[in-house]
Amino acid sequence: MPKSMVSVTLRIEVRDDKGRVVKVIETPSRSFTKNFATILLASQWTEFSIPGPAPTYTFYDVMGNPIYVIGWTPNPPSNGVYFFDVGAIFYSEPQYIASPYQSYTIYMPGIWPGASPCPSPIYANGPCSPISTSVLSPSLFSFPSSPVYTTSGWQLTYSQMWTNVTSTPVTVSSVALVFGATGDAGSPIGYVLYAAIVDNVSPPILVLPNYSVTFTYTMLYAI
Amino acid sequence: MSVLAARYRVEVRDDKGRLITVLEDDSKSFTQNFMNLLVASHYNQNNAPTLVVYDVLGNAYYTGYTASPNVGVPFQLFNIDFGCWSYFPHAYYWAVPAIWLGTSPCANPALANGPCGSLVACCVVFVNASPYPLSPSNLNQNAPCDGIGQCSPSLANDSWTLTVVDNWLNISSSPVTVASMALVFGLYDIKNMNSCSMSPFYAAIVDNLPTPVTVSPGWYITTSYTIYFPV
Repeated sequence: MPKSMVSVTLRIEVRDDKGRVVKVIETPSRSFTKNFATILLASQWTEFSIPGPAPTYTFYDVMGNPIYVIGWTPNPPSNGVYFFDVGAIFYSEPQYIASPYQSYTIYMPGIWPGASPCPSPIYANGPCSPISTSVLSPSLFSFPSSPVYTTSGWQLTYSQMWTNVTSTPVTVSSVALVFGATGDAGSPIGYVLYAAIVDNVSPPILVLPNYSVTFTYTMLYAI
Repeated sequence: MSVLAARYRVEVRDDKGRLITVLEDDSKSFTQNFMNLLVASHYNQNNAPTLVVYDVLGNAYYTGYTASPNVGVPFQLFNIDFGCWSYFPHAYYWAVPAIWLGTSPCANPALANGPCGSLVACCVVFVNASPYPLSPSNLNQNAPCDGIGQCSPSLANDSWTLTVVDNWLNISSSPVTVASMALVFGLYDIKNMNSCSMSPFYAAIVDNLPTPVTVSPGWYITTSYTIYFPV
């Protein structure tokens, strides 16, 4: 394998109801998902060069729905979610998320927790058994505003805190870094949510009532 | 643990197709320009940060919409679609994706805006101009993925791979020295997402060759970048 150009570290920090750190896990992330590799490849081409209307690329959103990339056609399919092409793939804001996700378990880009481990995180579409925001309540997703230069490379840091707002402990066994992706204006309005990275948390962490857990992904772009 | 790596390969062949030189090594890093564009692509039109980005010629642009000239919010950060590329360096030439070549090594490839020295492979004549010495020979708009790209990721033993290959022919009457190479992408502003006129062009990866190579008249130089996603 060639020298690494990008490596990723996942840090998990659990705090008690008084804000004291009670547990820290730091582990290398293993890989991007297959969905990410597919989206990245598809985004190299405009709608005018992607042959359609048969789907040229297919990736899956966090709900496991296929998103078809079909190239431009005057007669797009009447069923299924399709993009003519893929443009933005790192969207991280809470606004403009496509409507189907606004009633989903979690409804905005961020670092999502899951209750179960994923059999194969590389092929996972999101965290396994995503935990509802009525159980773990999210803070705002923090994402980079500029690359941070270090002696070993540029760092991009993503972070999100979740607080257990129930009266029972919650177990987190997987997490996913979720971005928005969209096609051009002819594609359905809004961003679809997909997981660029999925990791299992081993051993699982327990978040007691009123405790919080912060997930931080640090991407190092080596120089 | 690596989640992404890249490797370049350069082959020089003579006019009879005989292999003269092969250079192959790991790519070292993305450029600072790529990093700034990547960061800006996380945002929407209302709040994208203002970060400076230089195109291949060294012209300054800004991400977001508060400074001018701007590239707004980058829409297709990795575009190599020849059909939607545009004039470069001016209206007499048309830009060719995706691996551009220069005659000199770069002092610091991570901070370079493109291949260094004179640009010798980048473009084809659009009208009334002398051609660049290296002309693309595998670019084909009728071929899948323009004949230069990979249409779907390959799953190798331990990674998915994506490869881009440019084959350049020396059409001049003089030898050409190549000492640096760059993986160049075109940019869209998200506000122009429906247009088909990609510009400006920026280098996401720049590498110096360990030793410069000479491409004699009638000879070919094949350059490739392979991106690895370890699994």
